[in-house]
Amino acid sequence: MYNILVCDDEKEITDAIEIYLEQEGYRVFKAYNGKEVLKVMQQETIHLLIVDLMMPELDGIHTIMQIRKTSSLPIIVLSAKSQDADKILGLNVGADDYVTKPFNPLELVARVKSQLRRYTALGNITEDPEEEEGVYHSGGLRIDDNKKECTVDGELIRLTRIEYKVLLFLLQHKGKVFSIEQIYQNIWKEDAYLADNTVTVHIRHIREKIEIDPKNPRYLKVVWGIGYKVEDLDA
Amino acid sequence: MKNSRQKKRNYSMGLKAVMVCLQALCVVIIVVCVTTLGYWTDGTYQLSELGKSFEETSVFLDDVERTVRSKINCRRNEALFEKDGVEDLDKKIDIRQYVSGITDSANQNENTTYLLRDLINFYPKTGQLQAVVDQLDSSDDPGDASFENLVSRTQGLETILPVSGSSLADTARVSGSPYTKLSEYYSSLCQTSSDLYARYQSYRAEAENLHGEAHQEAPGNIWYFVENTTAKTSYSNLNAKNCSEARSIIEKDEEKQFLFEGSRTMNIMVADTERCMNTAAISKFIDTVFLGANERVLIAVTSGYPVGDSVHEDYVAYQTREPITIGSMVLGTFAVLLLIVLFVLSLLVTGRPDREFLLDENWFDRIPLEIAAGIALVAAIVFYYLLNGLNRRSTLFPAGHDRRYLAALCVGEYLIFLSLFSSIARRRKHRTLAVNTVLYTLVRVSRQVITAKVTSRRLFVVYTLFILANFLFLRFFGAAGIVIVIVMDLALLLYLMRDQIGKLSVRQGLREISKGRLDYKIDEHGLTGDSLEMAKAVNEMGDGLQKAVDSMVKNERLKAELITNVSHDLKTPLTSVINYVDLLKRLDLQDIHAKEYIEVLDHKSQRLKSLINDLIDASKISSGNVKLDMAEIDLRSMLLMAEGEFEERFEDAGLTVKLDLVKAPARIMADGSQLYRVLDNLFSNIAKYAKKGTEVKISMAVSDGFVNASFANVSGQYLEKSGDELLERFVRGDKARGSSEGSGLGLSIAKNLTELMGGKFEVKAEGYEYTAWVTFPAAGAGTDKV
Repeated sequence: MYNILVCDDEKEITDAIEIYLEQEGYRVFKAYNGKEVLKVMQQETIHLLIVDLMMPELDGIHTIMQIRKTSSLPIIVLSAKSQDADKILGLNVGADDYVTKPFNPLELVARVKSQLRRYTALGNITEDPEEEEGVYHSGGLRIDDNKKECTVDGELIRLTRIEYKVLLFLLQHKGKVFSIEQIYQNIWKEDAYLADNTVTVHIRHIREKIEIDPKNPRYLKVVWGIGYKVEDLDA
Repeated sequence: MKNSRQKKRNYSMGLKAVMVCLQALCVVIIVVCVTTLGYWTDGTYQLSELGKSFEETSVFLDDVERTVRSKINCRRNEALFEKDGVEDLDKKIDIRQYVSGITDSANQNENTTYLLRDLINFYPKTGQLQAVVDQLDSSDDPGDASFENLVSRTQGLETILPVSGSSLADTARVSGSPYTKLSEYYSSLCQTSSDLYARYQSYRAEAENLHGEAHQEAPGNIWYFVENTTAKTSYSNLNAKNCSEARSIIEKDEEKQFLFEGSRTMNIMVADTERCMNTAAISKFIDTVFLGANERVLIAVTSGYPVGDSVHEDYVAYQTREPITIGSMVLGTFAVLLLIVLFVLSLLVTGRPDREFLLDENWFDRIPLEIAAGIALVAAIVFYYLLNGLNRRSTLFPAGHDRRYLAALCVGEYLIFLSLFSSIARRRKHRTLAVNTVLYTLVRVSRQVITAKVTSRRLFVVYTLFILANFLFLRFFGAAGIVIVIVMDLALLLYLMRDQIGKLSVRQGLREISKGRLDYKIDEHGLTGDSLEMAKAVNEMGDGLQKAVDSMVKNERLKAELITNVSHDLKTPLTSVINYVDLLKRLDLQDIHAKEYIEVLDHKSQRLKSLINDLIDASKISSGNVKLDMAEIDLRSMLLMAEGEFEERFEDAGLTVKLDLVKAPARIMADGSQLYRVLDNLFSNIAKYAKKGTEVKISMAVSDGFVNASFANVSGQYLEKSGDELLERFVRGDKARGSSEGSGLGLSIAKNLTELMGGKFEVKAEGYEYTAWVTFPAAGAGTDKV
């Protein structure tokens, strides 16, 4: 049973989120401005915070900065501001994720789950030194090549053989961009200049499986016009 | 499309040259035709006689008249000089009867009657006698003194005596008015003697011609019967005694035909119109007198003029010359018309831009109109004199060598004429007709001088003073003066150079500002006078422009911000709408319509969401408020990656994708993620609007330093909008708006983004065919392999 604090100056939005999260078995606390958030945080044990940016009294950015002085709980920003600059600001002051309004309730729930898993379960893994042979990871993405297993935030992901090979290759070289041709040569071991979408479709399938929002991937990033890479989130 | 319309108006140099040559040819033809016509009318024929039969020409009628008259004269000479077919010069002639045309042997006056022989022989003396008579003044007093004077002056000249044996002087002396009488006698004597002498000579020539032959008329083409109805004398080469007999002879002979028949009483000739070949003959012979007051004339010709006399020659010449002349008249008319048409066409055609869009202008068009016209005039005068020289040397309408010369002159004259008028036509088209004239230039310059009077007057005064000073120093200060002048001139040179440098820096400033560097400032340090003023003005101009541009950019940004803010405000209530619609969906609603209504709400709220997002994007992009992270990327990989993203959506829409990409990477400079938004918009559009079951063709080409990608598909609906219209904001290809998803901003966003990155975005829509192109300049080496 996790406690989640939802804060938005629109009561209807907090109410709606409450309904969704309670359906998933979370306990929901509600607040309508930054000050209320800080108050609730002092009174209750909160495991995750969903917070709006534009609020009266104390806005989201300052609220997060206040919280981050004492706590490392996962924070998801929920904002109407969809510009890149806003997202970067939000993530820089200490938010763990950024969801823009109007949001897909299911996606929000998925992100909540993911954050909670990382905060609880994976928090331990990152702590022990990663010396294990044949295990590769980046953030919540983890492949154990010994068991041929891929997990995201602890959840097992079912991949096809090719998908597994591609993801493993990219994860082994995380942070490095590979062109379509390079991926093809390394996985299929064939030297061919392709004119079809074999690699790109596989990549998309992998993204759809491991990412919450495949269009805004967290792990398997698309570098348009150049290639693909797995983001190195441990650095 | 514009190009092809432009091309239609172009005429090649070749065509123009051909037209000029044709015109020259026309001129030559006209010259030849006119000279041919001139040859025709040159004394022999009239233009009105063209197309008529030979018998209607004056030449023929003159021939006939001459023939008839000469034959009659022959007969009359024979009658005068012969008696019974033998020459007889002992006849008696009364000179007074002879000059008045009377032959009445019964009433001869012996005092004025001579032997024929004497009269003929007297001819050599007539000159002297005639000279004396000519000197007589009619106003002289016709008294005895004058008579005696006349007698003494003609002493010894009257070498023959009349039959009576008394000289004319003696006869006159006894008459009432001796002076008048004698001068009349002498005049008559001279006239009779010279006339008879001439007739005798021609009689002798005729007689010698017929020497040894029977005294029979040589056969000819002309037949005549002329009779004097009072004197009962008649002449004819027909074997007939009277007119009616002659008529029946001609009527019987099929080869002969009547030319004229008529009779004259006193001065009135009445033509028998039944026996006249043509009206020309009537008018000719009505005025012609052969024998005297009362005569009957009948003239006929042998058809075809078989006998080789002068009529025959004229006939043959006419038969060849007449068709040639008519032909040249027709040809000449045609040539004149063609020339006019070609001339007008040349004027229309000239001055049109040629294929390279250069104005067709030559040196002649650039010189002022008056001078051009003057040149043409001088050339025309030269040609006129050459032509005049030609005229003096030969006839007005020369043939052969001169004709060639004339043709060459006319062609030259025409070409000058054509050049002048073409030039005027071109000037009119280029709107320089009035401008490029000496007059206009004078007016303009003087107006400039008047308006700029302060500066130019100052300059003029300074310049005059300077020259004066130079002169004074050189003239009156000797060697020292030269040094002073050199120093002064060097100072002027320095001043001018400094002035020039100032101007250069002002010019540099203007150039920089015109290039768009509005913050450029001219260094005012070291500038003086006009240059300083200009520099200040230019700097202020730059500031002004900068301010205007800044405020424009600011406005644009404010607008974009406003839209963004309003959109954010819209998003919050929309979030609630979407969430609660979703919650409603999860409820178990009893009403059968409820589900349907919720579906509508769900769909429309999602649509509102995408509209708001597109609105923000569009306003940001159109105001240029987008951060671009430009890098060298591979458009080929880009297309593959983007297509990979859309594979399933295309499949769901029942579309097959055909990729036709280049073999090697094609590098361009672009922001990858923004370029993906372009492709995303394009592919979304295709997935939304393409017809189910059709093929989407994505192809690529690298050429001329450009990389091009094209996206062709078949639209599900007939596209009534053109490609350009589809690129405008809020326009969609289908007419019924709001029936489908999408905001109508997609293509506008894609186009604006592409252009921001330095590429080109085009859309062509024709019926069901829909094609989009994205083109970027190739980056770096272009196609090096990874």
